[in-house]
Amino acid sequence: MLATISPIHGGDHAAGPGLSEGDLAFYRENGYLMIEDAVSPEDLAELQAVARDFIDRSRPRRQSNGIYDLDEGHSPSNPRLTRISCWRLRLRPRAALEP
Amino acid sequence: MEWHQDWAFYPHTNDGMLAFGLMLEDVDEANGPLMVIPGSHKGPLLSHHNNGVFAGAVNPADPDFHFDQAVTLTGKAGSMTVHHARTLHGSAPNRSDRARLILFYEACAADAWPLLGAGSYIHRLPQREMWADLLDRMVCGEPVIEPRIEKVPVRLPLPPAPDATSIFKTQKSGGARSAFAA
Repeated sequence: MLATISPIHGGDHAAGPGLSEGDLAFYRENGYLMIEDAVSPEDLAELQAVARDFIDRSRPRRQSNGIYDLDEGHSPSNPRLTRISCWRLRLRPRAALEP
Repeated sequence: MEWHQDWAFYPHTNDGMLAFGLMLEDVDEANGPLMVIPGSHKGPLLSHHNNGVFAGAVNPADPDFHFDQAVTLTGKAGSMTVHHARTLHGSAPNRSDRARLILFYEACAADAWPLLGAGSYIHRLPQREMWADLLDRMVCGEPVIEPRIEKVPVRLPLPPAPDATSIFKTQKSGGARSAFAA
């Protein structure tokens, strides 16, 4: 599953409906925006699967390692993470697999 | 996640920067939704320091922090939030028994050049690797070697908190005061 991670640019996203002028105006005025149904159900399902795979890999960990930021109470049976820093894999592609 | 401006973590030569978060599951009031202060990206850069270190969070008592104006961003899985790098935002604690999976990306204009001193990995790359990484990170457009320099408020995130390995550790070890205290 890890091998499927790739940059989000390219693919079908570039051909999507994009943002309207109203969206852009709202963003410029308010500094935030909410976009519903931003990705296809298929892409969403794949991203969810990748995330759950990362969480599964965190189960045996005792401490954070820069990729996995473990939350208090983390255990193999109840994985608790504050963040998974995928960008760090750019420097250490195998880090997600390291013990 | 205490209230902060991403800009405080990685100031650049201009603020053409944003972050977006793709909700990988439904996010409601109970499982730690993102909250933002509308219009705060046009306002001041608040202090994110505490006890002389960068604590990665604003002081809830800061007179420029208007919690009463906060908007909560809830949505179905597949929804995406976008927030400007200077927009004040935070997340309430997840009080549910559900996870809150959100895929966050950070992006900046090609002509926004990072100021040295932030915690991002790019600051640790040798020159040639940095250039290769920059090319690899381009989503669209071309890299520039003449950054656009704007008169933006800058305060470097230094010195780092005792544990600056993540924003959560920065806020905790930096002694950030909570705006969400029950």
